[in-house]
Amino acid sequence: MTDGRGVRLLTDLNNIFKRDPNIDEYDVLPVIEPKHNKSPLVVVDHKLGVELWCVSILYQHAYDRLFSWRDKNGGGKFIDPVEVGNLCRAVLLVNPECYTAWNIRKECVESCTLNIEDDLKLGRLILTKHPKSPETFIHRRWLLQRYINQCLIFLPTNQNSSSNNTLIPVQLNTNIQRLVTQEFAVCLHAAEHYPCNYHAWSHRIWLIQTAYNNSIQVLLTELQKTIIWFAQHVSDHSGFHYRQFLLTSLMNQSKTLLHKYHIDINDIITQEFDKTCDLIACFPGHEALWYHR
Amino acid sequence: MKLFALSVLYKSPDGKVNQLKAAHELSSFGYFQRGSIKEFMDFTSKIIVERTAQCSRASVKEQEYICHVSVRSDNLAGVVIADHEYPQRVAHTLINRVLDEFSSKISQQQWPVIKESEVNFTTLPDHLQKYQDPKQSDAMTRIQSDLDETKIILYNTMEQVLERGEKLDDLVEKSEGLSMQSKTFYKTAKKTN
Amino acid sequence: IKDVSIPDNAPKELLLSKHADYIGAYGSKKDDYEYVMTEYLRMNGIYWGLTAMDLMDELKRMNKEEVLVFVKQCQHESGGISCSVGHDPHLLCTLSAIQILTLYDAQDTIDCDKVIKWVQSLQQDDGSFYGDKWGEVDTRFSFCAVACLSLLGKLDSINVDKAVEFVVSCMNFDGGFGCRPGSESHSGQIYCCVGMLAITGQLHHINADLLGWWLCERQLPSGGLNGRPEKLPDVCYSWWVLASLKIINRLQWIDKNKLIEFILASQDEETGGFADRPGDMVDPFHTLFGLAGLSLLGNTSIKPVNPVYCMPEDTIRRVGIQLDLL
Ligand SMILES: CC(C)=CCC/C(C)=C/CC/C(C)=C/CC/C(C)=C/COP(=O)(O)OP(=O)(O)O
Repeated sequence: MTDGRGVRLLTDLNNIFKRDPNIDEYDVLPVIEPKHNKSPLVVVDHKLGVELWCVSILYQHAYDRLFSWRDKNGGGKFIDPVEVGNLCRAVLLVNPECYTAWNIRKECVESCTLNIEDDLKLGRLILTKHPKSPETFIHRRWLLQRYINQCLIFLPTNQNSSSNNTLIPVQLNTNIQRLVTQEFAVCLHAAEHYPCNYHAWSHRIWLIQTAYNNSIQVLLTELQKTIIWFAQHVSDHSGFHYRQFLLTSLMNQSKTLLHKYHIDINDIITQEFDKTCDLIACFPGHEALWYHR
Repeated sequence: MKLFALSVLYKSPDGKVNQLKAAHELSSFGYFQRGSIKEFMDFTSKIIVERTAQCSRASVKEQEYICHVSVRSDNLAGVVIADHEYPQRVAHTLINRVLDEFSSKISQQQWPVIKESEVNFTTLPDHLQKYQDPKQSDAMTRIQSDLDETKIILYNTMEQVLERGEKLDDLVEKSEGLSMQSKTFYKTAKKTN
Repeated sequence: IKDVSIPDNAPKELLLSKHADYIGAYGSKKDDYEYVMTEYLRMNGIYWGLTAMDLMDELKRMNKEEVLVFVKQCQHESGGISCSVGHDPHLLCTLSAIQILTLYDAQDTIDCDKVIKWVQSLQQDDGSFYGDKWGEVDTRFSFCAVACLSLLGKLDSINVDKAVEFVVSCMNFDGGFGCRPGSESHSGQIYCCVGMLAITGQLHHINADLLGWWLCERQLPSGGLNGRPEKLPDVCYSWWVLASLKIINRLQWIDKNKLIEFILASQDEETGGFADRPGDMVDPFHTLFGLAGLSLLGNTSIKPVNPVYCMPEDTIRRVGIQLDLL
């Protein structure tokens, strides 16, 4: 099915991203009929809006084109790599659970036709509309893992220092630091926009484990950083689980190490207990708080 | 825990309701949704005040929101729209404060006639900001003394507030305060839920 | 607490023939946008539909030849199976494919040795499983791997001890399991882990009272079950939670009648099928889990369902699998 409108929409979408590489939010606009002489794609202040009526047309076109190219038996017309990336982007903006489209982007990253940071940016944009999309988080973990591996190869220090016993994590170079900090922000944004966001919080746990190897310093900073959030989201069970993860990880650190840095785990637990009781008293009726206690 | 809207309204003896002043905090919503969300919050506040009797208080659940309302004996009314985490008593304390302050600044004779744009009452945004954190707002400690004994009636759905035979969908359809875009927003949001 | 209320006019009887019609007709409009949008779930969708039909003893109404040709087309060079033609292989689709072939007693439609080798290749040193070659780890994949291999009679082709060790390392304080070590407990993940331990005969690792308690807490005043605290009830959790309870022999801990009422209320009287909760749109996913849940709750107009594989007991018996539950 060749639909001229699909071709035009896709071209418009691609041009929008070319003109403004910093689109930071995306949404579907509740417009169910086309209006004459007005593009259904609008950009205001780096926010992209797509009118409802055209979403399915755009998707079907991009999807058909992408998969007829991908289908090994279908003759495999040549499409240049940039366009492959563009087709995936159109498909994923509408349907981020289409895992094969993410895989195609992984192949593009492997063949260097797509760079990791740009791809992280697309995922972040998609999460503004689909804050709990599991496949988007899965793809990010792949990108981040790859990035970390790349950086580690160039690190002069020996790999064996990466055990739980170092206070300071494996000498992370500044690029990883920057990326991981950004990633924390992505998690928090997603957690804010979808309460009890399982995928956002387990992604954050993965980050702590993978990028920081559960370093004590990071665990403590995280405990501190999320206090306010937790007082403002008293029914977010997933957020509380995250704090339990931090506390448990601290408890699992070797005693000598904790001692060396003057950390009394019982103190921390007691503080957490008191804070939780305080919140229970202030905000009665929230199951999550009781579980936490 | 969030407060989304705070408004002061006047309910005339014949039951008609006019908004006198409102403030919103909608930054947690998508950029393109804010306009419609604001219209819906104003629309809902008005409907609820219309259906709340003089000298009474209520809290009405509507999806992920709760609308707290109070209508005083002098027909001045206040509405707070919050999420489920926000403590109910604090919300009602906030309404009390705001209505007291409003009636001391704007004379009662003006309520039935004045237009929203002419109401010189500018502190709603500050209140909305300050009460975002109920513990900071000093209300937490003073709740007990502050709130009179009027019982807060709790409704689990908007339907329970509406009169017999009334349907929210119809009210939305008929409303003049809602733009075309907002009505479509309402319909499509319902479908994809 | 978050919950829903059941409308007075909600269905109270099981509408079996409606459901069979609904599933029978699903997918007849292949150009539908909805249908295109869900292609990434096609293999799972076929498994849901066929199993639902088989539980209603209506499998004969489905087009067996068409399904088998489709499954065959989805097997890749690597041995893995994808959700649809042109998509990539994944463990989630591979399990569904094997389940479909087992329902039809037609495993030889595809190259099973290749499937086994592929699944084997996804196991890691710590015992965990990748979902595909890209390396995501999740306890769901541990379940898919062992379920798939056991249906093929080749559980011994992986390191079972290591696989168990990994799943056990995902156990939390509350007795539940998450997707990876340290992750929050979730009923769906619990089902996968409990099922995995059942298949491998390692249920003694579970603290059945603690876990049973957590699972029963999922029941809300409406009678429905949620997947974790502070969430809305959903018919699919009547499967994930019930099946887990059944496996650990704590099914009697929930209020069965109220749950039955909730599940029945989630049917659509006009179109047939079940929705996630009363009044919402129906789909094949919730239809299977609604029916399977009712079967576990003792409804005799539905075939008995196996709580580990979510397939009819007679099928599981036919392939010679016998599990010791708690
Ligand atoms: C053989 C059968 C029946 C299944 C195969 C095995 C699999 C893949 C089971 C999936 C189990 C499942 C539902 C896992 C849950 C995944 C998860 C962490 C979901 C959380 O996502 P949300 O969208 O937040 O879901 P809730 O809102 O319902 O919690």
